[in-house]
Amino acid sequence: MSRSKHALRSFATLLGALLVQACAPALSTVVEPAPDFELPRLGGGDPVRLSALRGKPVVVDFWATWCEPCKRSMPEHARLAARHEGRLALLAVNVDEDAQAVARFVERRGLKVPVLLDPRGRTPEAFGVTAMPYAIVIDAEGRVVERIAGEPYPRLAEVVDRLLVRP
Amino acid sequence: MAATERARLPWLVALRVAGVIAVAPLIGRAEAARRLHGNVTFYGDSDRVQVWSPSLTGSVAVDRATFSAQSGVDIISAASVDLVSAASVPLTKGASPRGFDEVRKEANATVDLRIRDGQGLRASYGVSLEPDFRSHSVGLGGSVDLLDRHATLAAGARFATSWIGRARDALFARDRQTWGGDLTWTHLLSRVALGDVAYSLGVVNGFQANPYRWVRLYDGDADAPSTSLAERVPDLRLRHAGTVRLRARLSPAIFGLADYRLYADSWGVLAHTLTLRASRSFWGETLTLGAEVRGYHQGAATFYQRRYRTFPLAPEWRTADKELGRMWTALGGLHADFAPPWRPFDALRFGFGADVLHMRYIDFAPLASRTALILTCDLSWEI
Amino acid sequence: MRRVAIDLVLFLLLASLCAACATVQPWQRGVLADRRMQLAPTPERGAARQHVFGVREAAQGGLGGSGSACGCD
Repeated sequence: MSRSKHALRSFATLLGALLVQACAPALSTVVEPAPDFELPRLGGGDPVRLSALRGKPVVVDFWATWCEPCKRSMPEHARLAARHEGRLALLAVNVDEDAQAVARFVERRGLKVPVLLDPRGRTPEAFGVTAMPYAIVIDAEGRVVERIAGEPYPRLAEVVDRLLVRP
Repeated sequence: MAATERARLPWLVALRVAGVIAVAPLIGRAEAARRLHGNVTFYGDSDRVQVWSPSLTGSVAVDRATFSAQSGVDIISAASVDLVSAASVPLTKGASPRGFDEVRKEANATVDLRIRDGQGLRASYGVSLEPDFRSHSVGLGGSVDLLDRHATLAAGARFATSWIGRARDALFARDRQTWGGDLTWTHLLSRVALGDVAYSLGVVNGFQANPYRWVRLYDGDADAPSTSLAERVPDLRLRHAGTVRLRARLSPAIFGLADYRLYADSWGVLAHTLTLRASRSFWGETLTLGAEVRGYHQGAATFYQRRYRTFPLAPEWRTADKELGRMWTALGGLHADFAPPWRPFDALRFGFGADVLHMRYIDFAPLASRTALILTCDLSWEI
Repeated sequence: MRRVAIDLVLFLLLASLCAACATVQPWQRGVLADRRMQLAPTPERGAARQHVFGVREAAQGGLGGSGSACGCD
C-alpha cells in the first residue's frame, strides 16, 4: 500500500501546483455603452444594426451549433421573446464558420428567433465574450447592464423582466 | 440472487431506460434531449472463441442533469486450448465437445450533473453477472475547467466488490475488492489541437486467480508433468497506467489521434501501447471513414514461468494465464460512420467497424498466437 | 525511485504542454468540440473496444476521460 500512497501523494502535489495557476474570473456587471455592430441575417434580408434598435432593450446571445448549452437555450429564447413581443429585441449571433450548418440547424429545430451571422468573431471580441454561450442585456439607452456567461436561464429571464417593468 | 432474477436483469434495466426516456419530458422546464444507442460487437478468433456482445444505452438530458442507463450481455462460445471457464452448462447444444457456452450480463446507470460554469459531477453504479461471478461497482467523478477554460481537470474514483464461485462446487466462494482513481488533464494546444495527460491507479485485493485453471509442474526436464496444482497468484495487485495523447484536425476534413500508454503493476508486468487513428469526412459529415493501428507489448509477471518445476519446492505463486506472460498484439482496423442528412433520418447515425487483432504469446506453449476478427455495428438515435 | 521519475516525467510533459499553448477564444472552439475530436466515434463503441482489450491484455486503465475542452458551460 505504501507505493500507492506515494503515487497518490505525488499527484496531490501535482494537482495543487496546477490549481495555483487556475484563474476563475469573477464576472462583474459594469454599466457601459454597448459597442455598435452591423451583421447579416441568416437567410438574407437587410442586415441588423444594433444602434438602430435604440429605444427598447436588446438581448444579444452569442451561440454556436457545436455548443450544447447554447442549443438548449434556444427554446427559452423563443419563449422570452414571445412573452415580451414588441418590447424586446432578441438577437442570436451565431459564430459558426459554416453558414450552411447553421441554416440546417435552424430549419431542423424550427427556431423563431432572429439569427445573425458573425463567422469571423469580431462581435464577440468587441463585447469581451469569455464563454459560450454568452448573453448580454442592453437597455433602451444602448448601455450594457448585464453579462451572463454560460447557461443564461433563469437569470436572463429575471433580468429582462426586471428591466421591462422599471419605470 | 436467483437464476431467474439474474436472467431478468437486462430486461429490467432496458425497461427502466425506456421509462426514463418516456417520462423525462414531463420533468423540468427545458426540453429533454434523449438519445438511444444500440451496439453489437462480434469477436471471433482462430482459437475457436466467439463472443457476441449486444448492448443498449439510453440517455436523457433534463435541465442540468443527464441520466444514462446501459444494459448488455456477452454471449461466449469457446473451445479454446486454454480453458478459462467451465461455468454454466458445460456442454450445450451446438458447442464443441471440449468447449463451453456462457453468458455474462451487465447493467450500468450514470448521472452527470453540471453544477455551474465549467464544473461537473458524475456518479455511476454497475453490476456484472455470470453463473460463477458477481460484481457490483460504484464510481464518483468530477471535472473543472481551468486557465480561462483552456484546460479541463477531471478526476474519478471507483470501488468494486466481486464474488467468485466455481461451477459444481458449492463450497468454493472467494471475493475481491478493487479501488481505483484517475486524473485527466486536457489542454487546448491551439484552435485545432488538444493534448491529454492521464493517470490511473488501481488497487486489487483478494482472489485474482482463475478457479478453473491448473498449473502443470514438471520434475526437471521430464516431458510429462508430474502433478498439477491450482493456480495461485498474489492477493494484492497495484496497477499504474499513464497516457499522453494528441488529438488534432489535420485538414478541413481529416482528424487524427495519437496516444501512448505506459502500464506497470506490482506483479512486474510492464506494458506499452501505441495507438494511431485518422478519419476523413465526406459531404460535410455525412460519411466519415477511419483507420486505426494499435501496437501493444507487455513483459511477463515476475512469477510467470513457461514451465514450472517441482524442485526444490513447488512455487508459491504459479499461473497458466497466457495474459500474464510476455506477449504482443497488433491491430489494424477500418470504420465508417454514416449520418443521413435527409429527414426524417437525420436524427440517426450508423456505424460499422472491422478490426483484425493478432495476439502473439511468446512464453506460452499451448498456444503461440491467435488472430481475431472484431466486427462492430451501432446505431444512435437522437430522439 | 522509479515512481518519482514517472511523476516527474509526467509533470514535465504537462508543463511543456502548457508552455506551448495558444490562446483560443471561446467562439473559436468549434473544431475542438467536433464529434471527430472525441476519443471514440461514440462512448459506447470506445467502451466496447476497451472491454475487448481489457480481457485479452494485462494492461488496463490510464486512458483518461473524453474532455473536449470546448469551454461550454
